[in-house]
Amino acid sequence: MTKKDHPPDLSDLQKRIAAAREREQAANRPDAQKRAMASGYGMAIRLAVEMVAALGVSVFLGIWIDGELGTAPLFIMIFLVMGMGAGFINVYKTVSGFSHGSLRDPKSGKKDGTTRGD
Amino acid sequence: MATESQGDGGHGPLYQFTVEKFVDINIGGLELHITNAALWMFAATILVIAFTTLFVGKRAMVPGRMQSLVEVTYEFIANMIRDNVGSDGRAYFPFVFTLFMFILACNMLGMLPYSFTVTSQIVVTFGLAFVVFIGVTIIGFMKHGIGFFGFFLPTGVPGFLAPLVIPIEVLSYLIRPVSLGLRLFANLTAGHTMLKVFAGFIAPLGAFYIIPGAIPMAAVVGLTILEFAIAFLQAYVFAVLSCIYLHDALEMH
Amino acid sequence: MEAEAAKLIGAGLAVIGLGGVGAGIGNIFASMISSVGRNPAAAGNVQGFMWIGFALVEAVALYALLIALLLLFVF
Repeated sequence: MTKKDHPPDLSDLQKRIAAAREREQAANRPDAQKRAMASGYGMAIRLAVEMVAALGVSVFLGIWIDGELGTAPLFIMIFLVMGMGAGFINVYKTVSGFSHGSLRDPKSGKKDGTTRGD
Repeated sequence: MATESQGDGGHGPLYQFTVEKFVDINIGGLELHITNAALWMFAATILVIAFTTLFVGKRAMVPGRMQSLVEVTYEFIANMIRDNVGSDGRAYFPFVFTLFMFILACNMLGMLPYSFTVTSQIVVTFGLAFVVFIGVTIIGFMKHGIGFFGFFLPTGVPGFLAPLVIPIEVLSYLIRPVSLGLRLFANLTAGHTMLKVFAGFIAPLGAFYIIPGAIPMAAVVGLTILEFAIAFLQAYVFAVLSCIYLHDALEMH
Repeated sequence: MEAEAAKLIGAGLAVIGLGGVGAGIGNIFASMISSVGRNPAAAGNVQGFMWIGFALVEAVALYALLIALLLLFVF
């Protein structure tokens, strides 16, 4: 047994462990495709409820603030517009992640939506 | 909503959602009564604990049927966390697992006849949603400090649009717990109400020579199958969205 | 007419908009079926957009429900 071989082996082992850990981290990083929900119906209900919840919460806030301050339709209309904007922005963020995922198929390596052959 | 009885003392389709007290407990002015909602939540908790501990008793290396069921559930949630949060999310696995199993158990117990669906109470679903929201916000502040406010200004927005984008971003962030709780509540309440409404048609129609009663019966059977699917799907959607919000808090800036 | 009766009539009128929602959902799924019928390989690509369209039409239905509930219980 040559004891002189051990120190270089151990330092090499550390590097190999670090490299392997790095590879596993890269493989496990969440990608936008998987982040979109698996079930279509689930995503549809989520989008619909988000749009309505955005509008409902902002209109409710507007009615409450108008009740406090007495400025009758002003804040209702401001918050109505903001609620519609917030709802549409949420939908856009969800949809853009999903359509990128569905258009790009990593298995076939093609960047557009076409599936050649079969 | 009024729960008026119909006809000769029957109950309307919304009677199933009334909360009834069984044991009155007053501790220092706080009303901690044991209601049917509390009983069914206890039942859901006991069900989840029994499922995860009793079946894994022997800890065999090659799992039997029941143990492999628990392992499949574990892997399902672990994969979901890894896909949506990344490897840092493993620390939050107990929380997401508890959330998913509790909501799933509550939804499924609500499918039993004569039971009470805990997650059809808006207080329960909003409570769960606000727990997730406040927890995720605190985690975001703990990890990023004051820089967490940078989340509300997405990169690539020109300077003059910032005063317009920031309030909308803040509003859409504050809407998250509302939509989370509202989705679960609305799906379960609407499903169970439709079940009772269609079931209420069976007896009056069946009084005409029985055959016309088969139509709402078929509808109730179909709706029950759909309700089982929705019970599982809504628990999954709640857990996935919690993971996505956690990912936003941990990494999005 | 007293306020209670007007609320009930208003809530009933608000739900009339659901007719358009039914037509919209039927439209979406009819076009999905016909496009998959013409080109079965495109089913996976079109499916995502179908669910997004369904979500937006369903949101309109929930808006009608929101207004009906607002009329009945807030005003």
